[in-house]
Amino acid sequence: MLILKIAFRNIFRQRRRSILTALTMIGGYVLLSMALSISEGTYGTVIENFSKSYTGHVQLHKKGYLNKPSLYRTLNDYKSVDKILKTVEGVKSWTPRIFSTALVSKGKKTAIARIVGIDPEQEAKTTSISDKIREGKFIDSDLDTTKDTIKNTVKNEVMVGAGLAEILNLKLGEEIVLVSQGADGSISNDIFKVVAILKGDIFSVNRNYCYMNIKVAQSFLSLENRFHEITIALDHYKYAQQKANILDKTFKDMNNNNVGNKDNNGNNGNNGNNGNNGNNGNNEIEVLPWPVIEKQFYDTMTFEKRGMRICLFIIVIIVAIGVLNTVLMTILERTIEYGILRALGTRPFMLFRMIILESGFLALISIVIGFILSFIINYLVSIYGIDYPAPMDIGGFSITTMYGLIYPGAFSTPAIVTFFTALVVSIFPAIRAMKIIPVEAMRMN
Amino acid sequence: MKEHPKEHSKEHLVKEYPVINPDILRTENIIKTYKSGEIEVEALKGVNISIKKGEFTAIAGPSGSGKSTFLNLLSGLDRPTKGVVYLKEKPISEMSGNQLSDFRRDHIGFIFQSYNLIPVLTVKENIEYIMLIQGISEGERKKRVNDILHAVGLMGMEKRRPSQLSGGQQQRVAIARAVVSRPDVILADEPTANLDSETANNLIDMMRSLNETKGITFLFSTHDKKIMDRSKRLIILKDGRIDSDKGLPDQLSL
Repeated sequence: MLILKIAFRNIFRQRRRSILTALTMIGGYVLLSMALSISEGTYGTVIENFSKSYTGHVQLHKKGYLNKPSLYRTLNDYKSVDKILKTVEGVKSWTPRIFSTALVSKGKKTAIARIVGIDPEQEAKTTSISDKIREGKFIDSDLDTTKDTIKNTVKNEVMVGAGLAEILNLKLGEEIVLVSQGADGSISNDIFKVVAILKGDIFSVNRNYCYMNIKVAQSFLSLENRFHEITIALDHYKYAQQKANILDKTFKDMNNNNVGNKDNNGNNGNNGNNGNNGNNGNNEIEVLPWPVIEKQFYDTMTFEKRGMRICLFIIVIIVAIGVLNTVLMTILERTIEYGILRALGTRPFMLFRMIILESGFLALISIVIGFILSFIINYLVSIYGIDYPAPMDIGGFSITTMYGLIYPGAFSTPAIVTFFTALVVSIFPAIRAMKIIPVEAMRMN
Repeated sequence: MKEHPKEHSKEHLVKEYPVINPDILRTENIIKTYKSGEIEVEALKGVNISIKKGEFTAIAGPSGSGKSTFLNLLSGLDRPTKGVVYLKEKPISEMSGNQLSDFRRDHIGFIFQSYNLIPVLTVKENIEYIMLIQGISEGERKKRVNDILHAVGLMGMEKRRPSQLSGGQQQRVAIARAVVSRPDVILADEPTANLDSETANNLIDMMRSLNETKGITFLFSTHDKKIMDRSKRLIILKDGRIDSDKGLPDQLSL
């Protein structure tokens, strides 16, 4: 107990030096905390943005679709998938989609567009496409995709991306002609009315997209009751891999329960309407979390985070040198005192403990102050952000503002790093103190 | 009450064979040589003494005569080049680092010329320090601290830090710290050198009183004539050898 007291009180003996050392540790803590908070916050914002605006956190496809998309690689039993997704905790919402490419014409102008068939109601729950409407209205949702037949009149409405609208000089209410190939091998073509033009800058993924009701798209592409993708939104993007694993296992179990049933959909394009085939169409479901879907972004992010670790390491080194310098100075200054303590019968290891404790106390005080300061800073950065002078491209995504994120790791990691750095660098001076020979130390008196 | 047979036999022994006051400290032909490059300086050239319980002994001599070196060897702070130091007939020269620490903690009390109190601790905590590392219970510590504060006249000052005390008061705290752990011997290296004459006299009186009332053994290294005059035994060191030893232990009233 007295050793604790001595260690604690020693901090206040050379106040100026202790303050300077504490400032080094506080500075290190705040920098570490800010770096972690901004890194997680910025990347988190980007991930949330792209997953919310389009990708989702997890996607379901027919096996191989992501690497080699094909009109014919479809899933066909939405009901079973829907039933499973409802049972998985942390799955917030999901939406089916189908995709194709089409020629879009308006008058003499023609462009290539990516057709995306969406369920308007589910899409609005899962992504933020509805927020991206620059002008117009969201496509009609009075078509029930959970039913096997279209119960309402199909409305050929489309929402077009800003790029497509620009190329074709499209205005709201105008009509366009879409020409594509149907899954049955026929040439599909139809007239569609532009009901919305979406926002989008040069980085937007949906610049040349043409959204329509999934029922309309299924009919247009002869893909009745089939879909290419289910986009899933989770409570948080961090759970993507975990939930993907759960879903993957669930779908595999579901397949095992249906052993003997073969997928009759094949890839030959001649399978027609398989909507009533039970689970047969889903026995090759591939569950992919966002790091796989957005691999380029994920790789860039991982690489940049590794780069950041070097910066963090440099901060740790600065803190370590600061603490080491102080503790070494302290040992030198208190050589006589340590000699006396040894003379009085203090065992060498008690001196070691005393020095380590002193550094530990100073580190704890610094951590408390650092925590308060970094919490305030991170909180402000998480609300107001820090603008980049110009938009920055990370793995194909544009970042204009850095945001902080308040999460336990942004405070616990710097705390652990600061505390253990202080302790570790104190070991060497503490060993030196242990080796002090009392009679020689006291001769310095 | 039933008489304890062992106590009875002990009493019998005491009557039959008078208890001989044993040596607390004893040296056998102590030699200490310092090396400074090529030069070797022999600080002690074969010193033999024995210190018995209750002595109030001063070791005097001119500067460089080896007084402090001798005290350092007796306390286990330093090791002799040749010869052996015995504490209660145990050779301390052979002890390891931790054993020596424990030995100093349990058997030796120190009083230094420049007090050497721990600046961040209060008077009470400084006095308590050795008892704490000895593992003495809180109640016992409290009792002993109160007793010794009375004895050294520092009541009411227990919460002060050393920097808030005069030199004399600091040396009283040092004496209290040395005495309170009840060591076998207190080694005092020039304890009055930094004090004025009146304060020095008071402290010598106090130490003499502790010696007489509590039977504490004191061994001084000193230049101070006041200590030499008040000591029961005076050893003069000259050029690393004992020049004279007046007032041998068998002449002391124990």
